[in-house]
Amino acid sequence: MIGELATMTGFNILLAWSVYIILLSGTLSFANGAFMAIGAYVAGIVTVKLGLPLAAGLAAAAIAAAAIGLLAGYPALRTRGIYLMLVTVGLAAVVETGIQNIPYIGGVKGMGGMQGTTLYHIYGAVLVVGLALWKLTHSPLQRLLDAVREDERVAGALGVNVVYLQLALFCFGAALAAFAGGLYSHHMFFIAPDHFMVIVSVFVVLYVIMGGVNNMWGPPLGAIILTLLPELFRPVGQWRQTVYGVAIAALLLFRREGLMPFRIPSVRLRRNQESGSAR
Amino acid sequence: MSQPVLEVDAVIKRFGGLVAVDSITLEVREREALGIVGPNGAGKTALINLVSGFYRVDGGAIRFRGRDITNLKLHRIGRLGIARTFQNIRIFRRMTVLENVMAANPRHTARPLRSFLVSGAARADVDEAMALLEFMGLAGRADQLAGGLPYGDARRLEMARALAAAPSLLLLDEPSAGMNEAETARLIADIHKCRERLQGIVLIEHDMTMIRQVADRVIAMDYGKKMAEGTAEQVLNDPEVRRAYLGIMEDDRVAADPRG
Repeated sequence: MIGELATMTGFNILLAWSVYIILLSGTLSFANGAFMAIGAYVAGIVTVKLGLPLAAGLAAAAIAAAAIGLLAGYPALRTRGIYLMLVTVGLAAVVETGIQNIPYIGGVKGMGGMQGTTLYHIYGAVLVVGLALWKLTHSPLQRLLDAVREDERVAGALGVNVVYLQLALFCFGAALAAFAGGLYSHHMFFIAPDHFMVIVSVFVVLYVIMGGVNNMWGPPLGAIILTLLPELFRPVGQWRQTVYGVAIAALLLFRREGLMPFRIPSVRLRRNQESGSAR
Repeated sequence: MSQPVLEVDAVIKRFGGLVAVDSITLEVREREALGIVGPNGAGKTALINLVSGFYRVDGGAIRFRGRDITNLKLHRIGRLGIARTFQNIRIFRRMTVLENVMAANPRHTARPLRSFLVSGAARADVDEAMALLEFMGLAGRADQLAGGLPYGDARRLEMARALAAAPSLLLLDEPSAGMNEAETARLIADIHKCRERLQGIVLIEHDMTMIRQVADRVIAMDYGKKMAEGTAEQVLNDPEVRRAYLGIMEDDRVAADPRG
């Protein structure tokens, strides 16, 4: 029980960060559940049908999702950021229906035989992604992304290729969601299309908004709380989902900016001057 | 004569049936500050938006140091060395003053993904940005959020950010809008200081004191067309220009208008 909760929390942290990565450049993605599904199936095909190791499956999952992100994102981003959000909603619906109609991967009946994911894999990935995001927070890239989020056009006039940056982050986010999906399918042993319904994407976005969208710690916090919260409501029986919904509504009502709303400055000048040396 | 920094050649911009910029031809010469005056709605801001790539050009050509930049992408024009400020200040309000300036660093804007590998507080980056903040008298506010700056400082920050992109041409869109006389006097001094770093300046202004003190040459616009061109005194005393401004030019100072 505890092990299973820890596992699910880990998956959800990775998914929340995959949404956060895309959000860094100002685009909200509702397709990360779909990218997770793509990763789950691609990795499954590579290990079960082709008999290759899990690492190869995860790599293929990440690459496939990034490629699909590129194909879907490029035409959308050539117009304006907001259209990418609409495309992600469509993508989530298309992927769900698509998987249901491919007999090779079991269609609605699902697909089984994937195994090999351990808790170490999941939290190893959490650690690596966390370190990368921490590095990002303290790199010039964070400032450029903040600038894009503040004012796309002004950032563009300063020389930032906004479309390129948004597309790159969209692909990174898609790849991370697919990587998490690959780990997920090899933990579950069996997957079916209804594991990845559009609502999954919405839930992941909710983790991020709940935790806070302005710093790297908000999304995992939101993921942890919203994964564990339903467990607290077990005693209320069939009212569990209702209480869960009310709790989320209340939190968003009283902390509209999320639980951790602050933005980490990408430069800490004073500390730098005091120490007198580069970090 | 050396090559002009900026050449605008019969440029046209239409909005539906309205011709906002109607076949304007002008040039900014080496080391020159070109003033542009004209009543509100004359197409001055539209012209700056065309040169900086915010609008697409419907006709004519724009050349920057001999290179055709007509309808290049926004970031391409920025990287070539054209920077601008905005009539309604557009600083990054939720970033600190220092971050605003550092975000314009051309080493990183040109290669955003590679900048991930760079340490955020690399000494040179901070030093360059701080030098610019000192230059504009903002060093004491480096760690404040830009959104909380008083009006004059926000203007100065916008100029510092533009200079941080290391441009050769700076486009200033009504920098004195909303400023009192003392603030305007300080702004004039600031612009004079900036000139040593720039190949050229385009200054849109309603404040005639500022035009006289900053602009080497002045162009007057009305209804998207060039009305007069010459020294500040020639243009401001031109009967047609005075007629266009009539009624609002009694004390040589024209009220700022948000439409520009």
